[in-house]
Amino acid sequence: MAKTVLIVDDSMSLRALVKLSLSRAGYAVIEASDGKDGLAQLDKAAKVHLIVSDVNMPNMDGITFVTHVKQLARHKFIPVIMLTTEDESAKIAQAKAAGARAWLTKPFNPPQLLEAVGKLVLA
Amino acid sequence: MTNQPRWLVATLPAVSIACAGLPLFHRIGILEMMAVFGVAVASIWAGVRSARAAAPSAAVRARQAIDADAPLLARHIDKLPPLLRGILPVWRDHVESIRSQTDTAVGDLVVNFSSITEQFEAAGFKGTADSSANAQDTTISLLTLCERELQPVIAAMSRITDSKGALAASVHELSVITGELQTMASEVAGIAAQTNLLAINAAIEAARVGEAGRGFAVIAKEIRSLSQSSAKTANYITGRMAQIMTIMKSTSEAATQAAASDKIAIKLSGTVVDDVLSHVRVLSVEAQTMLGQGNVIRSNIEALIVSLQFQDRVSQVIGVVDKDMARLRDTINGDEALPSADQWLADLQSHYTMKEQRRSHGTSAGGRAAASSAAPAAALFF
Repeated sequence: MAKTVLIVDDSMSLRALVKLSLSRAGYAVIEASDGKDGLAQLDKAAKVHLIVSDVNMPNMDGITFVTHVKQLARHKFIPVIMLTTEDESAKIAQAKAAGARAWLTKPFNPPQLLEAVGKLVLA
Repeated sequence: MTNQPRWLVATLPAVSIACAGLPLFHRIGILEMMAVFGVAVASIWAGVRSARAAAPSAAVRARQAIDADAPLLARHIDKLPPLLRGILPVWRDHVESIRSQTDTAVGDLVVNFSSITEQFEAAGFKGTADSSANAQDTTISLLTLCERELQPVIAAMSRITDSKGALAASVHELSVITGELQTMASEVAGIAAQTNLLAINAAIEAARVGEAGRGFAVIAKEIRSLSQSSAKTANYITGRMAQIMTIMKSTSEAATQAAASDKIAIKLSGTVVDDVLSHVRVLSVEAQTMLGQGNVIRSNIEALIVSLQFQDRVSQVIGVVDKDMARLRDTINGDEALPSADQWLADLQSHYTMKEQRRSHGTSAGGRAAASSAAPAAALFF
């Protein structure tokens, strides 16, 4: 059965690109347009194996979203990859403290994304 | 009031760059808009890169502009706030329209592209990073299987035909020996006939001798009886041998015919097997060609996925400019004291997320060496 990945990003085109990369590798993909929508999608989904989240988003940013996810008993063990244009070390430290497992800078290379996803899904 | 020209002049270049092409988008389609937008962004990046070494920072440019345009600004300064109140919302709407339309258009483009790649993969053009690809393995396995399994079958069939040939030869040899036995039986019949004749003569001679030949007459009679019995048995053997000869002949003919038919069938099977192997070899070559083309397509898809992410980066830049225009509007409408150009720019800079933005602002420590920041970087694991 295909592993399910939740993509949280306010850019529709970026979500489509991540979805294209992951679905070609056999992953099922759920999309959310910001952190708030991400929590709603998690609530609705039967099982999510990994989250790929942007940092800068309207309504709820990625680091706040991860913080919320890690407080939910049902979802706190889901690994999270931050996928963002941000490259500030302070933000990276915040994401790590919030519970994210990896940081990938945009533009991403599909093989690199797949390698990171594969590592964390199997972990 | 004295600060107003400084922050206005500092902000306007950034806003004007973002909005320079806006009127175009009312008259053209999404794809053309994307193309124009892409060219514009690329031109801006290229211009920024080439001019970076010599060009002063945004803050320095702002100050230079203030100094140069101070007399002009002094004449129009009272008209600027109402003007900006009127046009800023329109500019923001246009900027948001660009951001949203390009995002939707690139998203649609990716969805359509995704469908095309799925069709390519369904047609067999599925590349893989692994050289021992499944598709290639399958074809090569099929070829190996055909060569390994079919060739021995043909060899086994040939051996069976050879065995049948040997059987036919043995039957023929048996037929020859049976013929010899039939001849011998005929000779035995001849000997019996001569013995019978001899017994008759012996009986005649015994009768001529009279009483003294009576015993010999009994012996002659027994010999005659035996010769008749031998003749009868020899005739019986000859008859059965003739039957055996007939059966042997038909068996030999059938075996010879079967061996000939088998040879034809095996030759035909060999030709079919060679044809199948030849087709499988062609399929193998085609599969490898398709795998190679699939890898090219796969590589192009990956490059395209990286390239199309320009939209996300452009969107980030536009988002910051849009927020800054909103701040400009709120500042004009507000009652608080206006910030200095340096304060405004410092606040603007705090919203940057990418090296390109910091470089454009002119304060990036990376300078020209950071030009490769838009290339994919390795993942950082915690």
